[in-house]
Amino acid sequence: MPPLALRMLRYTPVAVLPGMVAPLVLWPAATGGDTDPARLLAAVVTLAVGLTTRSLLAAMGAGAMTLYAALGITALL
Amino acid sequence: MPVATAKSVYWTGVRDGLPFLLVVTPFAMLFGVVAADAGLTLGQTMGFSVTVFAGAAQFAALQLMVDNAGIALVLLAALAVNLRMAMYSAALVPWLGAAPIWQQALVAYVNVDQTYAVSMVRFDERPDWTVAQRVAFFLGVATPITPMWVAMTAVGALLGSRIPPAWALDFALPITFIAMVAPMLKTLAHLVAAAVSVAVALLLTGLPSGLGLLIAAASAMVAGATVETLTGPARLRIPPGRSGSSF
Repeated sequence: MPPLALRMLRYTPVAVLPGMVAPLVLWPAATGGDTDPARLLAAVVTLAVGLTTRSLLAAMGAGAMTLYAALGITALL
Repeated sequence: MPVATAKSVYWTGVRDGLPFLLVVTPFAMLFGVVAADAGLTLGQTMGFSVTVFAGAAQFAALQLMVDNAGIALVLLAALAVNLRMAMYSAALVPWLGAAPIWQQALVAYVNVDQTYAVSMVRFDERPDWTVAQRVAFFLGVATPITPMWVAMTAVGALLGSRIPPAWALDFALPITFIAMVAPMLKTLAHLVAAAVSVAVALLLTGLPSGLGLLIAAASAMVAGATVETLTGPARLRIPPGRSGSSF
């Protein structure tokens, strides 16, 4: 394969997944397309933990905990 | 080389593969849950997991199917997410190219981020290994991972249909994608590619399902490659235990 093609291929996962996830985070279907603070916060925490720990499991765990904590607080308010 | 040697190399591979069960188990269960949530039957979910056997690509394809994207877009997105497997295969040729074709096919099937990353490190350390020993090691690493992926998908699919909507399972997929991508953002080029992908995808949400994503992904790949040209080459190989990209 030509070097330029290889160079572009290297970015396929980071080129596809963020674009797929961004609308799901900002306009979730579960809330009728309205931005949901709990889901937005969970997404931000997942990203931050993933960037700092470089661990898929830590990021997923932190994101899930944030989501449920935020959803719980929203339900109480 | 005696059979016993290939055998002991195989078990070394099994040992090296075991830690990855920590990643594979929850991830596969989640795929089963999300697939059940999307309305796939247990049979369809299992067919998906066994034939595709590719974590991130499975999630991506499933999401587009839920969005009612055309089958061509679903296949294209799954291929795009897993194009790096083609690069892995190319990188494995110098090590395993002399193996019989059925062994190469087997290796190709179980070739995922984890098996690839561990094997490349070991092959570098042990240049004395024969081709047969390298194949044995690679298959050893895959031995705990592959059946667990399939089995846990089934568990997730069976549990998934019983989970109430209040659990917000719709958001399991975004969280998983973000958690997979974040550890990949190792260089400026990766960061720029991800940012371009997000920006273009959000700008083009009005386009028919999947089309905007395709344009976003293409723009992001060009952006990443351009930044890499300006800042110097990124490393292709993933350090062991830190892959976290697929699966």
